Parts: sequence; C-alpha cells; structure tokens
Amino acid sequence: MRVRARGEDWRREVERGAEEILQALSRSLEALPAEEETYYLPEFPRALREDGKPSSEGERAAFRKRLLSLAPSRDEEGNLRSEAAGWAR
Amino acid sequence: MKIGFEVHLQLRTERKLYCDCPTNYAEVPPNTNVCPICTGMPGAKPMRPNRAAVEAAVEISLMLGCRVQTGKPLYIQRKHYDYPDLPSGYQRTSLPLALEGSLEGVRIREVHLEEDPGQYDPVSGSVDFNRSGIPLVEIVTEPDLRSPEEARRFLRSLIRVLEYTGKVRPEAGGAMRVDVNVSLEGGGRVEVKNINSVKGTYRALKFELQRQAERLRRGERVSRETRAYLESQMITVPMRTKELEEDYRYIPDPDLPPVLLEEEWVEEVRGRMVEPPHLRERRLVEKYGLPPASARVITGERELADLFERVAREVNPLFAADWFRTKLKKVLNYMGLRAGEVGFSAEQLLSLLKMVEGGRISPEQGELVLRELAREPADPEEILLRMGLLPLGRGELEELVERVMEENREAVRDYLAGREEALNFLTGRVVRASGGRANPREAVGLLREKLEELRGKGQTS
Amino acid sequence: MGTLGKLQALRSGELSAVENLERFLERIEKMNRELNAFLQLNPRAREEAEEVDRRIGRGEGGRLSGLVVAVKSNINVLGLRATCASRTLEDYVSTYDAEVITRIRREGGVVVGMTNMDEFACGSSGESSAFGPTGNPSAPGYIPGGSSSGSAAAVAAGLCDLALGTDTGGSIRNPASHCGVAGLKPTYGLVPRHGLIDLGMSLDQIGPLAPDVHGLSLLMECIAGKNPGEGMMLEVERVSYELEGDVGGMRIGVCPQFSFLTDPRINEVVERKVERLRELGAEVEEVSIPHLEHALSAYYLIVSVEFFSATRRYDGRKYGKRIEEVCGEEVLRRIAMGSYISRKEYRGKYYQRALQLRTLIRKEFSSAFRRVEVLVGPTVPKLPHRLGQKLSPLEMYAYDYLTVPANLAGICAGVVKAGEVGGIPVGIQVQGPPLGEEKILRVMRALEAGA
Repeated sequence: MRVRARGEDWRREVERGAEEILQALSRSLEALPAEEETYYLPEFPRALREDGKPSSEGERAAFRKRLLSLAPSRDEEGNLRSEAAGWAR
Repeated sequence: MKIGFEVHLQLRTERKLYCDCPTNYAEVPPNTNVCPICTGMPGAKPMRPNRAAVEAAVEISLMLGCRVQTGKPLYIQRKHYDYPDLPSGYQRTSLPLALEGSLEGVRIREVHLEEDPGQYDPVSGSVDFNRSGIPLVEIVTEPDLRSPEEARRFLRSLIRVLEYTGKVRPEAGGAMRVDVNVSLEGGGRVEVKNINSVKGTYRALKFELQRQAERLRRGERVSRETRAYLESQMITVPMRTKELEEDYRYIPDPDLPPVLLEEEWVEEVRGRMVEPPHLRERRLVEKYGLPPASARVITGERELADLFERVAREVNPLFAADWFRTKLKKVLNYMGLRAGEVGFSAEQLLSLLKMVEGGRISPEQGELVLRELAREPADPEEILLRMGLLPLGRGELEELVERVMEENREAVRDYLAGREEALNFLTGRVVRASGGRANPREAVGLLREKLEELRGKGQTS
Repeated sequence: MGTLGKLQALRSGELSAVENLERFLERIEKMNRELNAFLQLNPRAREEAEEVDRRIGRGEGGRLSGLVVAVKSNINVLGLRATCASRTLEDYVSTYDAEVITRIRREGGVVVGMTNMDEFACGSSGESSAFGPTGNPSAPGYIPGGSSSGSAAAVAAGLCDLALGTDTGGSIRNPASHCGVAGLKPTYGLVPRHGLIDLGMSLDQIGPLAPDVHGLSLLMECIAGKNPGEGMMLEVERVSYELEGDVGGMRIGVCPQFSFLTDPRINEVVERKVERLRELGAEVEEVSIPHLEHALSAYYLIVSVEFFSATRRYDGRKYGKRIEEVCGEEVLRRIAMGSYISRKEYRGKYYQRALQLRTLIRKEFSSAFRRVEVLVGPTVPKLPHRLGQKLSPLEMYAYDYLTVPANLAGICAGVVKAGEVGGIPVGIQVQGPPLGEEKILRVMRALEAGA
C-alpha cells in the first residue's frame, strides 16, 4: 500500500496528483454564490489573558530536560544545535 | 535616497505573549524560560494574547498619533517561514492595530503586535528559545527619510517615544530589531535585516548608500533584494534566496480568536497615556521659552522632563534648563544613571537650585553638591555641611581676603597698575584658601572693594 | 455489562482497577498482534491503576474510578509516544499531558496505551499508518475506518473500556460506524485541544469512543469544558447529560441529500431506525441542506491549508524528522495541496472560496436546526473496502461525504450502531446544533436501547 521507493520521481508524482485533485475539488465550488468567509466557528469570546506571575520554575525545569533529551543535537549550556545560516558563512 | 523602517521593540510584560513563561530571557541559562507552547511542541496551543502587551501596543499607537482600529476583528496571522529560531515554522503577527500616524514629519504606516522568535546564532547554529514568544511592537514607517543622519535622528526620536511609555525594554539591552529598506534614485529597493541598534542602523545605511551609489555610478543595476547586516564587519551581505520565503502564506491563526479593541477601552488607555515626548519638547519651547537644544535634552527621558517641570515652577525655567542640559546631564552620564534611576527627590534638587539661583553658593559648588546628591541622596543643606561647603561668613571672608592680599603683594601691585587679570588670580587664591567654601563672586567683590580702598589710600608699598 | 455496570463494579470494590487493567492487558496480549490497534502500551499503567485503587479506597475514585482508556496517538500523554503513526514523530516522546489527559487522570481513568491511526489523521481507512494498518474486529478482512482506527478497533474488540479519538472530518464517526461502536464528535470549542496534534485546527475536536452511549456521556463529562487561557473554547464550565429522557414528541429531521449518494443497503438500515424513532413518538420531518454536496471539496481545501501550516514545525531541528522527507503519500499530498492553495495568487480561487462555502453550510444547518432538534442519517455513504484494496485519493475522500459537514458547521454529531449489511456494521449518525450534545446522546441512547 505505502510507496516506499520514494525518490524525487515519487514526490513529483504526488505533487502533480495533488494539483489535479485541487482542480477537481475547486470545480465543485465555482458556481456557488459568494458569501462572507468563515474562518472561525462559532463566535468565541475575545477576552485577553491577564499578565501576571509566570509559571513555576520547577515545572519549566522538568520540561527543559525533556526538550533537551528530544533534540537531535545540543550543547553543554543547553542550547539546541541547528545548522549555521548560509549568509553568515 | 529613500529610507523606511520596520522597527521591532520588546514590550515589558511579566509573562510571554501566548504562554505563561517569564520574560527575563537574558538573565537565565539557555532554554530555561520555555514550555511546550513557546518551543513548538506537537499539539501545543497558544494561550489568548497577554492584555498588558496589547495595551502597550495601543498606547504606543496613540502616542504616535495613529488611528486605532477599534470595533473590528483584528486577526492574529501566521506568517510562515523556515528558520531555526522559529519553533513552529510561523511567527504570529497581528493585523495592524493602528494606522496612519506620524512622528516629526515621518509618516507611520501601521503598528502591529508580534511575537519574538528564539535566539539563533547564525554562525554556530545554536538555538535558545528563552526569547521565543516575548511580545514585540512593530512600527512600520513610510519611506520618508532622506539620509543616514536623518534616519538616525528619527530612530532616536522613535525610541524615545516608546521608552516614554515605560512599557518597552530598553533599546540598549538588545531588545530592538530593525529592518530598514533603502533605495536610491534609479535603483531597486533593498531591505536590510539583522540590525539591532541605532548605531548599527546608521552604519548599515552608510554602507548601503555607498554600495548602491557605487554600483549606479558604474552603470550597474541595484536589484531589489534582501541583505543581512553583519555587525562584526559593519557590512551588508545578500541573504540567500532559499532563506527568504517570498510568500509568507499568511492565514489567520485558527487557534486564536481575533483581538477586538473596544472604543471605550482605547479611550481609557488614551486617558492614562503620558504626553508623547515630541509634543512635550515643543511645549517646553513654547511654554518656558527654552532653547530647542535644551528642550530636546530635557525630554530625552520622561523622568528628566518630569523633574524639570517640577522645579521650573519655583526657579527660573531658563536657569533650570541650563542646569539640566549642562550639569545634571553631565553628572548622570558620568555615573551611568538614567533619570528614572536617581535616588534624590525633586524637592532636594529644587532646594539645591534655589541655593545657586539665590547666590548662596556658587554654580561650581552647586555642581559638587549635585554630584554628592546623585551619589548619596540627602538634603542639600546637610551635604553642604558634610562637605564643609557652608558659605563663609562675611567676617571669615574678609579675613581670608586680607590674608591673601598680604601674601600676594605682587599681584596686588599688578592690579593697582591696571592689570585686571591679577584680580582673577587673587580670587582663585581666596577660593583655594577657603577650601572651596568661598563664593567666587563674593570673593571678587570683596577683593575689588579692598583693593580700591587701598588705591584710595594711595598706599603702594 | 456496559459502562455503567463496570463503573458500579469498580466503585463497589467487586472489581479492582488493577484487575480491570490486567484483564484488558491479557486480551491485548492475545489480540493486538492480529489487530494492530495499539502502537504502544503504557509501562506505568499498573502503577497508575494501583494508585486509583488507593483513591477508590479513600472514596476518591473520581468519575472514572479505574476505567481503562485507550488514547489515539495524536494526543500527548507525558512519557508515551505521540507518533501520529508517522515516521516523522516515531521517536517523539510526549513532553507534557494534553489537557484532556490531565482531566482523565484527575477522574481516575487509567491510560492503557496509544492507539494506531491514519498517519497524522489523514485518512479514512486506517491503512495509512506508518506502522501498518489496523484490523476491524467486527468485520475481519475489512478496513476499520479512520482515522481513529485503533481507538475504534480497541473498543470493538474489548481491549479497553473507553477510548479517545479525534474528529476533523469524521475520524471518530467513520471508524465507529465500520466497527459497530459508539462515537461522538463534540461541538467545536467544547473540548480542550491543548495537546492534540493538529490536522485542521478550525475543525479538530477530541471526542470519546465507547461500547455504549453511557460511555460517551461519561467520558464527555470528564473532558469537556473550557480550559483557562486556551483561545478557541466556548464559555462552558462543565457538562452533565441526562440520557434517559423520552424521545416522544421530539422533532427529528431527515435530509434527502444524506441518502442521495449513499449505498441503498445502508439507507435501508438507517430507515429502519428512523421508523423505530417514529414508533417511539418522534415527529420525523424532511429538511434540506441544499449545498451539502459541495462540503467535501470545501473541507479538503480548508484542511489542506491548515495542515500545511501545522506541519511547518516538523523541521527536524527540535525533535523528530523533517516531515517531507519521511512521511507517507497522503500526508505529502495534503502538504502539497495546502502549500499550493495558500500561495498568494491562488488564495482567492481555492481557500477563500472554500471558506465561503463553509459559511453557506453553516447557515443551512443553522436553518435546519430551527425546524428540527436533531438530524439523523447515514454516517458513511458506502461499506468499508477490503484491507489492501487500492482506492484513488478522491474515492478515499468520498468516504467523508456525510461526516465533514458537521465539522465545517462546528456542530455536534454522534454515531451508534444501527445494524449490519452482510455482517458489516453500519452506524447511524445523529447531528445536533452547537452544544446539542444532550439531545443527540438521548436519541442515540434510545436507538441503542431499542436495538
């Protein structure tokens, strides 16, 4: 079922297929009456969150450990290590 | 040359914009002020926006004379791009909270609320998310500036406005980021990113001016592009196109309801708002007749201007302004203090100024007292006493003057022979002999009196 | 014995939480190799059950008192793997508890393990999991439906008391129908999503799967209600449902668009149930959702854009792998579609049109619910295919034809078994207005009791 031979060809094939599907899907919407766009369902309270005392240090310390243990690369100070930026090389 | 800005400055809140992590990112080890939300863990949802941040952005908008967008849903947008400092692959940025303001003749296009990305070292690749999610205000100007110098001056004014609210982190602490776009007649628009100080902005602009002018002179094209400023080398370099997603694919963040600014609340904020510095500067000139240069210095910090207006009620404003611009500013700079950090009260400063204005002590003595006042606040009378600066009594001064004349007969002769500068010399001696306590003006007066008396007697020995 | 009977046994001490857990673990041990419903079992489950037994001893067992809950692999459970059945997150160990998990623990539920699913919930068959397809215990050889395949299969096979699924376009209701269990997609904004790994953020809801309607209601009472700080939540503190009400006199709608493209054998099973409701005294009325047929297109356009956005964080820098490099075909297809549609130049043509259609669908449901209290109809327009049979993407999407409208409209919808066609379960779908959960649960309960 799953295509495991996943070269560039496979990727392009899937992407081309995606565009065809999009054409098919959008055809169905072409003739419909214009409406307002609904991003959100339904109306949510717009209340903001109060500023105040931050979260507990202990909770964050426990999370920090998990974050660092998941990271593919990190340094002794606790930074994650990612690639260097192209423009800075 | 046309220059426009996108200035980002951190807002001062206790919690981050979309989570409850603390905001003192610079004071803690890397990745300490973090949680699933601000590190982009799978499934983590943002909390509703921090009210203090929204309020600060609204206040700043009002101070810049912008039209605040009340009564309509202001969507929080996701701006997508792929960069190591961006934990979710998008940055949340609000639709403009306010439009169309102005500051010193430069048009402000719009004001947004944004979240700061993490800190990423482009050279080593290290990433720290302590900063991720700190609220930022973003101010976008029209390209109304014409030279690096003008741009620098404007940027300072803008920072002054923001700092007046007391709700931003000081620019000097690295809390600012500037994107600047710059174009010359006949060239494309170049955007420079990665600038984080006024000085850096100025240098980047100088560099771009030169670079672009040079290309145009050689008949080459200046193409529309985005460049990065390299602080260490004071140059700009092109950012690779791959690092620049041209299309941010904005969508309203489905996890956050739009912000709605109620007219009534905005008016409340306006009511609490402090007077914007550029307006205050103008008012100081008009109301007190201050020279523009003094007004600019005095309004440099809100607390300094507050202090000035308090003392200007009871001493001559021009005298006070002169003191502020020269002596007070000098002492503060020397001690590395901001006006908001001084320990003395307006009343203490006022009593000192009154002593000087009334001639009880000399301006030079006043400055000594001021230095002491800034170092260790106390009642100026007490400081005078402590420093042994209590003015000499008439009798004491007379004694001193006579002694100095006795010991410096040559100078006395010179004076009587018509050499005015000898009087200065003698005055200096008197002041020195008094250990600084003698008021030079009083000493001059008395010396002249005694010397003329001598001339009258015809004694020339 | 049903959920309430089990709860009674646990509360009375007739059955301990540990015993309850161990019976399930034994069954899982025997059946999971074949079924592949669980991707990971909770190594701390026994400890947690022991703790619940101590709590029950103190009279503090909570609403769940040791009931065993299976959790879909797109919900974070601290220390367990929320892989979304994808290579992208195969090494991702949850760093926190989703809000619903915190609530389940508080109520004395025991998390037994993480269930299989379609990769990132992109699928309606249960076959797109990177860790192999899930079986259907109620119709061996057929797909269990998806994307909450493992959760539905686990409930159907008796491998847990209750399960959490998620529903973006039918992912709870579709497998509930194919596996013959009960499932509920709550009103959008009723159950906290913090900790739910996104598919389409404006559509996703966590919801319960259970062997019976009481189980759905019980789990809802534990997980629903607002979460301070979370943005998209309704102003509802907690919920409590009375299921035993009379459906006599209730106005129940049927809709011609529901049956139009549906397999006649499925329609027949559903119609028998509608007849039953009529016998119970309900007034059955026909209403129309004129643009229903366009909902599917709008849904796939919207979900692709949101999914594209949601997957930008899987860049391989913080955890897991870069999604485009390891994901399966359907996930890649949706990312590609989302990336295409959200481009500036195509927004108007695709995304904005879809959002307009959403408005239309919402209005049409809203006007239908002014005339009737609930809508009943089929859940999936066709019977499940045999495991391994190859379908085109559009054929696969067509499974969702009748379930996506509820997500687009943000309303609630539940499924309960209505009967069988050739030994394959068929579920009836009951849809209600926003926060109409009690009404639809009552109708579902009446249908279940009269089965």
